[in-house]
Amino acid sequence: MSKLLMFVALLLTITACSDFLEVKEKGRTTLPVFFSDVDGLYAGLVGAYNKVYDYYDNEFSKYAEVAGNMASMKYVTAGSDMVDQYNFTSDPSQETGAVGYIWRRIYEALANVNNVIEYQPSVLAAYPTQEEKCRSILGEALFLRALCHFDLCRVYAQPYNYTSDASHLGVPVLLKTPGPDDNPSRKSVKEVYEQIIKDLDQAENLLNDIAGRDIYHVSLKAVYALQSRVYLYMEDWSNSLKYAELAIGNVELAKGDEYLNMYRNLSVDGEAIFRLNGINKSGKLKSFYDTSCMPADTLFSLYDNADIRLNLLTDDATGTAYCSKYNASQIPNSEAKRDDPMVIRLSELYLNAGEAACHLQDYTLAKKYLKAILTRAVDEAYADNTMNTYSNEDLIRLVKRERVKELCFEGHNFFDLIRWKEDVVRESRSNSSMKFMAYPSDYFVLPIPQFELNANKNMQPNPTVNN
Amino acid sequence: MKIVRFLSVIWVILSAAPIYALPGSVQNYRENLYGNGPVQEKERITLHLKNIPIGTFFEEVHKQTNLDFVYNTEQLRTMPTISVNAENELIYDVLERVFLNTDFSYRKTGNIISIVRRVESSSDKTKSGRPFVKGKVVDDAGEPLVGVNVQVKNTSDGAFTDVDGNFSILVANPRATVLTFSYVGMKKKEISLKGRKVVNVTMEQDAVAVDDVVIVGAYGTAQKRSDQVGSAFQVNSDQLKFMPQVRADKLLDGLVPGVKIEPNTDSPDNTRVRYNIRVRGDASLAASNEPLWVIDGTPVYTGGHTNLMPGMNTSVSPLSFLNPDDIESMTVLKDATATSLFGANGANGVILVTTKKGAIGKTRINLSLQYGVAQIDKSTAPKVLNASQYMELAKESFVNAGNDLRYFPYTDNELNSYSTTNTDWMDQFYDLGNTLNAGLTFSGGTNTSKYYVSGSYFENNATIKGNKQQRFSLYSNTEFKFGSKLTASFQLSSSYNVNDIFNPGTDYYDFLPIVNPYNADGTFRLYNRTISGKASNGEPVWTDSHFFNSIAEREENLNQQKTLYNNANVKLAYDVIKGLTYTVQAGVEYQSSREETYSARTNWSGIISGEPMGEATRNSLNLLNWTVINRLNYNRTFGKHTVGGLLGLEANSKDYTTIGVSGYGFINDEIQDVSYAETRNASNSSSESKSVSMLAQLSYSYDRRYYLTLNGRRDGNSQFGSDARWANFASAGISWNIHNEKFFHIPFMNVLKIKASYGANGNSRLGSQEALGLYTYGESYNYAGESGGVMSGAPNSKLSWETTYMTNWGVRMRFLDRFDIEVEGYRNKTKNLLSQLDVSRTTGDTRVYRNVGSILNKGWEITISSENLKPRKNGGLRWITELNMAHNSNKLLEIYNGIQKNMGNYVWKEEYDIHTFNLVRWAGVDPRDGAPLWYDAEGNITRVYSTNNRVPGKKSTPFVTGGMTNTLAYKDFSLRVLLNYTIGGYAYSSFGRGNNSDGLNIMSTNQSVDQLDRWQNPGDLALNPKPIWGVSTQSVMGSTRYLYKRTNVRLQNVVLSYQLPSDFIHKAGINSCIVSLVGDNLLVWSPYSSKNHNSYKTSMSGYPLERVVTLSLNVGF
Repeated sequence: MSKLLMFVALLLTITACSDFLEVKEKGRTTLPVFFSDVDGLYAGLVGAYNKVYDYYDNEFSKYAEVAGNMASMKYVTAGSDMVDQYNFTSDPSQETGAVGYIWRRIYEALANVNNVIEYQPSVLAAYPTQEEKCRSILGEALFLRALCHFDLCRVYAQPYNYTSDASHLGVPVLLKTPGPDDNPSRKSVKEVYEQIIKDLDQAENLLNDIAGRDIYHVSLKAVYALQSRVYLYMEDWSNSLKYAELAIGNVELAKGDEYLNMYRNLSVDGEAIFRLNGINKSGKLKSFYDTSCMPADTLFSLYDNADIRLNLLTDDATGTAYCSKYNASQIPNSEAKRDDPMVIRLSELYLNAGEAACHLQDYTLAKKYLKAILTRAVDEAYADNTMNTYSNEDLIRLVKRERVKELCFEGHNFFDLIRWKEDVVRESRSNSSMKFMAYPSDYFVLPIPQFELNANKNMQPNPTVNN
Repeated sequence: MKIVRFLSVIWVILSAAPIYALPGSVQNYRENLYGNGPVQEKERITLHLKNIPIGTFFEEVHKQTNLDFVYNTEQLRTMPTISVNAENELIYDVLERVFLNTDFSYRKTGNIISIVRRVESSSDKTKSGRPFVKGKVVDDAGEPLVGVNVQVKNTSDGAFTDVDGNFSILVANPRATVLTFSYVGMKKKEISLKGRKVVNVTMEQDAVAVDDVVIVGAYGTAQKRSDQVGSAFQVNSDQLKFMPQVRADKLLDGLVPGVKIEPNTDSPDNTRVRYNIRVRGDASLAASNEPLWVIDGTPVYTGGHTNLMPGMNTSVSPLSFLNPDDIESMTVLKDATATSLFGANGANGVILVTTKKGAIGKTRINLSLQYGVAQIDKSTAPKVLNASQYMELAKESFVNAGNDLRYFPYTDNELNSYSTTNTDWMDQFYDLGNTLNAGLTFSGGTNTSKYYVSGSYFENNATIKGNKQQRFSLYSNTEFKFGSKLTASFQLSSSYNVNDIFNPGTDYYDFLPIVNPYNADGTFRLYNRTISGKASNGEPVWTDSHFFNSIAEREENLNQQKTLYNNANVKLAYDVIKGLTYTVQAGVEYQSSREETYSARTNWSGIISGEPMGEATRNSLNLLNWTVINRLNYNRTFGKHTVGGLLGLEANSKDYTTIGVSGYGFINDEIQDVSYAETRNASNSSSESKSVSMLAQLSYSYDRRYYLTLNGRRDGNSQFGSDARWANFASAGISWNIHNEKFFHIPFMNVLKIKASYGANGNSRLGSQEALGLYTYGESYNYAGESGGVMSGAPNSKLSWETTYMTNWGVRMRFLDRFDIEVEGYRNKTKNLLSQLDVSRTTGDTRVYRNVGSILNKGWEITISSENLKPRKNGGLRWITELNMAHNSNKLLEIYNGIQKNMGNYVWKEEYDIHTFNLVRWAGVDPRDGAPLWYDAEGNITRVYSTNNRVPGKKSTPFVTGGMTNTLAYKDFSLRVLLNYTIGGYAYSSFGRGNNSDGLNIMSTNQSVDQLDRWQNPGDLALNPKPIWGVSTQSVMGSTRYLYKRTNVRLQNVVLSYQLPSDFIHKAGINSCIVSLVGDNLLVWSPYSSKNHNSYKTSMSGYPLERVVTLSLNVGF
């Protein structure tokens, strides 16, 4: 009988050792293990930045240009990169094109961001002495979450002002990475923007350094800047102006070579507020603008011949149309394939402020910001002359024109167009199969990818003809 | 046969020895009779009985003392009824009294009392002047047989053999006497004495009388076939003998109903073919479909999901590291009662391998030598064009493409003489092969220890040049008894394996016959010179292009794998109380592999970016699995009730690490170590998983009529989510031996049995840790120069086991003592299918493992054995046929959201077999212009190929598969013929697709001979479209054009043996000597094969079959 007891004892010992089934995998770890300390939390944030870079340096940024009216594609054969967005022939099955990739990459980024946000409180509780670092990690992550939601909304939902109360379909609001069976559904654009504002407000409270670590990471200034842009999209003009001015502070626009060198040698001295770092990566935007996409005639017609910005739109050697915003010729550490996509830079805030001020009918203020942009582009005389040709009521047209010229190929064009409720009008010799498309249109949002619809029964399709 | 039956009856009724851990051979059967097992007999009895048959008396004595009685009922019929009065009397005194004044006496050996006819003394001659005849009886392995009934023919005189197999018997006239020898499971033998006084006899196993063969079960449980409840099919060493010694899994091919062994691909990807082993069909979509292999109670690793070995370029199956000669039996467990003790790993069936062990007796030495010669069976090789056929077709295609023959690329020049070259690449890559197998075993034992030791060397030089397998193996199994209750056994199987691996891939049928592997000066060809176009002056432009000469690679490169493989088991068994045994078993499997490759600077494989570099890789794999099992086994008979029980706890850990280094840029080909390479790379990976299980079994039988078995297992596995880490599995089975009922009166029917079982099993074999969500570090996840980690797998805390619910039923009939038919049917439904499925991208992932859907496998299996010819006298002609057939149908019942999933040429669609082809239907060739035609989805003929026209259609699952073994014996000769057959089903031929390109790839790839049947003129009803050089008419796109029918019969194994007469060899001190001639893969027949066309027969596994003829010598001392 004693043997029997021994056996039972053995049985109990092994079962009691529930640790026996906890296995650590080398080379990769499970979520709870990865996020068990501050270093892990920080590495998760680094990974999240990496994923945000991934989506910016890809179809997301290209989409805002090829769907707009200032770009011309070199190749329009079926299957070429972005050609379906250029021709407005996107359909839900295009899993391996912009339709699927933008969706997938942003959600990848969002999941990585949300994991950091989810685990931050437990890490903070375990390491109270590192509160400062944990706070800033959370702040940066909240900014990135707002950015992901905002960008998803820009691609897959109609602009905020599409309905009077923004009650039209937005995207799912994710505050935690969903499990495979959670199947989140879409919220209204209003709800999505509410969450964006909430995240940004919280980030504003958590981050105290206005300039932050560097332009490659989220700073308090970047939070203000994004707030300004979000309010602008919401047509909340006073808030947009308020945050634009908070972000601007007393900083002046970059001028001359300093301006050009932001692009030409990826200089950190320019006016970037938040820019993604592509070190050791092979830039996709660089190759796209090298070979596939050029500025269209419609864009060139807007510039004065002396405009500094033309330097970034023509090939130095041949003088032909060529967007060199991603083709840095003198790159640090001779990383030939690197590009650093711009997320927010100072000029945009000047333009935000100008646009907001116009709507607030504070034309003096609007002119102040416009003048800075125009002066930097050519000179003060040009600025004054140009502004004089516009009446106050018409000034908004100038703001829009300058916004197109200033921010072209930086991921704004198409989103601004539809936010302004304008038709897409292409150059007459455009090789796109679509030269005109009137606002509003169901084609102005990308369809929700079919794979998502298949896998997630709660996901509502976009009401486009294609979806 | 009658005596045999009585013996078996006695055994069952009177023996209380627990029947656990009984490997299924007769010698072990004996071991339990005599093994001084746990049962200690009481010496004194108390009996008061009147006028009872002697048999009843034995039963009573057995109940009180646990002594077992062995006797011949025929003989004892002469005994009158007896009366016994004993009060706490010594049993021996009582026995003396009972047999006083009778013709009988008794002999005690261990706890067995043999009743024998009285002999007066052991001297050579008795008082009556009748002489004694002595001798020894052994089985065909040379092991002594205990309890063999030796009888003088046509009399009731008889005796039994003792522990050493010896007997002595009184005979009246040695000149005219014939002795008969009979024993359970052995063929009855008659020996004419012809005046001899010493007769040594070797008995052979009786293939038909397998009724009492013990079927090995899980965790030390075992059942005789007649007592079986579940479905377990056992193949014993005598059936495995003379099978190819290359690897253990292939041994089962064609022998076990419901087990399919097929190469995992039909293209020549690996000369060490990875086999898919399927027990009753595929039950899973994403987790492993391979059965669990258990060697001597310890689960072993046979590779990943698809038998891939981690860290190695070439996966050599660990099952090739075992020496098949050391295997005593292989048991395939198929239904729920047989497998659910393995819980989470049992859903795909379990294969139990039991190795040999020693038996009590003098040391026996056995020597076996085999030498075989191998040649490819050319009729099973892909048929391609010879040089003149190639030239004809190539030129025609070239012209068809609108080209001028003046610029035909393959025009003779100083580097290539295309028109005069006719290379048979088959000859370049294949040669005669040979195999050598030499083995020596020592075995024996005493009452306190047993041992079995073997050493062997196996070498196989494959017909495909550059491939060699060497195995140096050592195996030992020893068992010691300490006192009466404790037994310790140690089993170690160890081998060192060297594999030279060269794989030419498809080159042997792709290379053009107009290209010579050598240059004119005898060096390896590295360039071909062809015309690549037309210059502006109209002159042809000549270009030298690389010729990736794999003959040079074979001769100059290194590709070798060396593996040390160990499998060790330590077992301690303690008899707690009568019938109850506690066993602790620890098993360790260790494998250390080293793979070395070097690509020489002198051929293209070692020339990188145009520079001679040389490239070396060194990979290593270290794998350690251990299992600890604690169990209590109980088995006891109370009158007509037999109760068995099992309670166990198992812990298991699997862990491996791989390290790989590679480098290129060597000074010369002599220095091949990676350290000396200009550019070096390293990689490393590892994996670990653990599981804990509790298991229990309860079995009960009543009067050998009714049987019940209940199983339960609880499994915990580190691979699953915290919500689903533990799972329970259970099963129940019943059987009814109708023939043992009193009401059963069908005289010709010997056995009528029905059985049924139901239960659940799991499948946990997925990657590790998929459930928790994974973060991966790596350079590509860095940002702004800092190290980052990203989520590489979304968490799914609900991830859990697949569960297969198995229903099994069976009927067995044996009649006229000749025919034995067993029919089984099953219905296995797998729920919670593990599948990597598309998931909402909002999870941050695209596909995650989920439990979705269900699959159904149902089918039937029939096993027939028939003794077609029974010998009238000893040595007469005897013919036994064993036929097995199995049918499985597979159906996907439910997949995620019902969305059809295209899997290459296959489709996963609800209500369809998961092996259903999803292809555009080929409609042949347009006779007007030779254009390819297809059917669209609606069935209309179209000239446009579109994947939208794919329709689910034919499936690869055959209708019936199985094997047939015919055994003929005549005098000292025996012949065994194994046929393996497949009926029905289709195969998508990668050769067919790759080499019927209608001119598209003719410049680079030789074509199938089928291509000669092509469209040439309007009105031609051709098999193949008009060939056009380098132009795609989409005719080569995936379609039903490349489906071949699979029906075929293979003559898999033929053995002709001759046993040298014992008188002759005994003089040389040899116990037994068998000479055999063995043939493997002698013929393949298919109704769809023809001389001029390719068919399934020519593209089964990517390589032609090897025909091997082996001469074998087996000597026992």
